[in-house]
Amino acid sequence: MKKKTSLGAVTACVSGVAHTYMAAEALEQLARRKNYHIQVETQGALGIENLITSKHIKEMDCIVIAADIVVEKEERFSQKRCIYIDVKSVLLNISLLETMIERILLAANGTIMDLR
Amino acid sequence: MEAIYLNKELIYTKLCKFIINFKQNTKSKLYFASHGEIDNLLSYKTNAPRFELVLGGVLPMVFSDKEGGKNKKMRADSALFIDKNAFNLPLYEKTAYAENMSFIFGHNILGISYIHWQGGQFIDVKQLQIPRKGPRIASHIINALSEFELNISDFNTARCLFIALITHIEYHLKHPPQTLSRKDNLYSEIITYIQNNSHKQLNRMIVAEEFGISPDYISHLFHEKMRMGFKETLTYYRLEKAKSLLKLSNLKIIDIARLSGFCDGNYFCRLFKKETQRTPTEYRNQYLSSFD
Repeated sequence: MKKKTSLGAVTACVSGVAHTYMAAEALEQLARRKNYHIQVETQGALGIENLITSKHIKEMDCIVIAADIVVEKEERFSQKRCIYIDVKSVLLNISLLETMIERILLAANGTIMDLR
Repeated sequence: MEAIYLNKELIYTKLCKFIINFKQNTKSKLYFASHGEIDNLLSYKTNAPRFELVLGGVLPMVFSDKEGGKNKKMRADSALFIDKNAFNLPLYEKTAYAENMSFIFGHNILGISYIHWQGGQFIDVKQLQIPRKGPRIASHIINALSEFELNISDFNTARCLFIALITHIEYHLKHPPQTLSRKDNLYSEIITYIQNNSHKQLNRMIVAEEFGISPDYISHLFHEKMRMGFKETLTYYRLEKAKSLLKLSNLKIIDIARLSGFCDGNYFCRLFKKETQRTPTEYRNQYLSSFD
């Protein structure tokens, strides 16, 4: 049986009170719809929650950084397929991200896609 | 560590100043965002209660309420309470100056975000987290404030409650909640777990397994902390959930029973009557009629 595609994501917005958590929810919905496995780390006003550790990262096929600010400990994702996108785009047009995830999964490890 | 200390000092000073101004300024306003629809995907919506304080300048704010949306120019010393799942959207103006603080009540953490907007950009943003531990004072004040959604006319009481809430946070910033003993911590985690899962099938065995402790230890812990057994505590939270569904939804009694974790509708009605001296329908009618 083919292994389920596994995504990692970090969300962060400027004030950290709402968009961070709304984007996390949108990403989880996307994963359910596409039958991906996902872990979303939120870096908001409530601090870092659901931290993605290097052990998790090893298993992940692609990382989505949905952020309006520089995220903490970004360097842990080097060597991975990474999509950078602003939070607004995740909330307004998740289908764009969906297409881009499908596309980056065909590319080599370490590929970076910057949609900001 | 130093940065965290500075954030705390700044947020504490700003909050103290706000509380004084909010009490003294006769024009200071408290707004409520209640359940409703805003036709904007970028509107802030979380399943945790929040509030916004405007410390300086002007911050136009859209928020949900019963009559659709409202758009208010929030001025210094005004506040907006946003119930869980209600919406709001701050519209920072290009040329205006605005200084505001946002508060979000997570399960175990209170998150505070300070924002200074000027010249079309965020010139300062600071965040701070305070653990929510010990007596559940903030939770109960928030519950009381959420009920105002249905009766906003009793404005002075709402104002006093809101002042109580921010005063409580001010106190906590100065006197951080002490680290709980392992026992207290376990107890508070179990309570949170019960609250979040009260609609599911739940018993002492399931909870004991979840936390890797013995069912007898749970009983012991509950009697010591609450003077109330596990089953009573579970029923208490289930009834609280049912009461809130009765007030805030039009669902049928049988569905409310199920959603609150009672598998037998008749049993639910009997228990409800025993605890509140009213049937669920009477409770709902009484609640709705008192706000006509």
